[in-house]
Amino acid sequence: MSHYGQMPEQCIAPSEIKAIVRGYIVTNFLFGDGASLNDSASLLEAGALDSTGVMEMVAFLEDRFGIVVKDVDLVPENLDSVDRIATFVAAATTAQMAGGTP
Amino acid sequence: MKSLVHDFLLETAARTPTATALICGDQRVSFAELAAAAGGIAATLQEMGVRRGDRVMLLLENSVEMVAAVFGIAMAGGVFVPINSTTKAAKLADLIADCTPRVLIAGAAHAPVVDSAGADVQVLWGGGGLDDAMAARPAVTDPGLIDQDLVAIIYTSGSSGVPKGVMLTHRNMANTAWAISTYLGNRPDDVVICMLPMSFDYGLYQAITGARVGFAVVLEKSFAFPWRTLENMAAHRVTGLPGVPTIFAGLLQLAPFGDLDLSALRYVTNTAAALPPAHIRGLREAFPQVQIFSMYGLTECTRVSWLDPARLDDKIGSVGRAMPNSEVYVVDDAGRRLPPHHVGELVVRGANVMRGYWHKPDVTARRLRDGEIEGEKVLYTGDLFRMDAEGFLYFVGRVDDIFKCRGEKVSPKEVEHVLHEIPAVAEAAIVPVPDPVDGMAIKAVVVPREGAALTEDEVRRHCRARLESYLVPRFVEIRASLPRSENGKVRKAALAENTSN
Repeated sequence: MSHYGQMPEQCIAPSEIKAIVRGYIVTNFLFGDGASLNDSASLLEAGALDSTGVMEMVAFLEDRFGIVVKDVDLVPENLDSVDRIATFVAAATTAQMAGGTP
Repeated sequence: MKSLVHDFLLETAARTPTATALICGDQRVSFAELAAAAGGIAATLQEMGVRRGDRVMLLLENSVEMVAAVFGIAMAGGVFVPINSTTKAAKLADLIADCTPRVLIAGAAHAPVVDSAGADVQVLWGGGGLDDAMAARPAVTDPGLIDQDLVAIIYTSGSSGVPKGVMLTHRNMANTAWAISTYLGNRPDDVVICMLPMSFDYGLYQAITGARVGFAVVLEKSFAFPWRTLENMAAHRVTGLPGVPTIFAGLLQLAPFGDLDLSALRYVTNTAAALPPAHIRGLREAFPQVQIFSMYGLTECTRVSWLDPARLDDKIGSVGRAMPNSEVYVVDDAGRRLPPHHVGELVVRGANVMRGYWHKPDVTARRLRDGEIEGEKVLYTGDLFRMDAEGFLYFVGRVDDIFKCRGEKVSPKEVEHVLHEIPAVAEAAIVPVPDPVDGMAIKAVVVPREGAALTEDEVRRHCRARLESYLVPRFVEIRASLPRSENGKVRKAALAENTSN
């Protein structure tokens, strides 16, 4: 289920997580044009992501940050804006480094 | 008897005004509130110049606004044109040019797309003028409709790659809403969850049948967060789940659903593509009490057939028999009825058959042809079927190269046109690849121009900028040339091979 393409990095800063997430979305879903992407805006409403896009992004997050996204975590509160994703990933990486099980 | 679509809403609002019509996120709207909001939109549209027969385009996500607008446009005497909310600027401009709407109703999030489409049309914005309209209470002028008037134009993909607007009358839609809610046995205490976009007739009809019967519809903006969808199903005691195989695949991946109580679910409907046997087994395990309705339809007549859930096991792979008040038969190339078990083109006759394609008389003439009764037009579906002696239908294939991805029609030519816009592309072909989730996933095979560099990501990015999300190829292959037959035709079957997930 989980595949650790890259092990969780030590103490990755929230601002860095946000930059990585934003970069991924801009490159893959906004054709490089990130000017209009507001970090707090709904990615679904902005048309940046659809259901397939969400699943692709979750696979990216698991791979890039070495986290496991559970079924119950697949909710807009965690995944429907750059800010929310960054917060969610930061919490997940912290929990894992603290020895929490995914 | 005169059957107007918006009368469903007005009659239900008079009968059960406080019953819940819609639940969307934190919003809960009664039939009386929905009827009042629709009336406000109708009056506002009339003030903006909408008259009987004028088109009003809808670029909105599933929302209370979307449903109120559908009924409001009908009340104003207009023709609603719901388009996919992921439509990009160039296509939006084409669709506006095709059906020349008097007004475009668009969500605020779509402002960049609407702006770059640059169309000369009045816009009623969600969050702005649309909210004011829903709160307004001026009187609606009776547009003097009869049920032969148009109520909707729904765009569908054509094999030429140019979308065609299917014209539906009030009579078409009222008949179909009656037929569907009759065979599903819908009741006022049903609660139906709708995550299908309302630009898709299958999604739209959840709201129309809901208004007719008086049941509540739980609107989901998308299927992007399946766990949230399941939570909503439990919270609202959902009894009806309409879906396509892609949705069922997504939900079943999450089974057995933890502590969620989904025992209220009474029925599941599937259309657009056959439900794989694995999904049927999965649905039965996850929801032992549920009735599974396997159905088939096309935009040109909305729905064709339904399979009685009791026959699911002895008619494996069938999409059932003709729905109420319609007749179907299979014909040979000369249009003669074929005996049972012969493969031919499926023909549909009934009050569900469209009026034709908007401003496309030649294409209409190919699809709507003379029936056996003088003067009657019947629908040639373009789908190859065989029918058994009891009238049960089995899908065999298409007469053209259209296929379905995530339940939506894909015209290879439409996507190929977009691929050819990339300067580095010399040749391009779109082929379907069987896929457990998408049904048929879209594969693009592109040949770069000599000396030009091209990456898969560039191809995908270009498609994402130009196409609705379901039309963006899942697989991209870059090749030096396309395999061709002796007479020069691209051998698409060869291209679909060797694609793995």
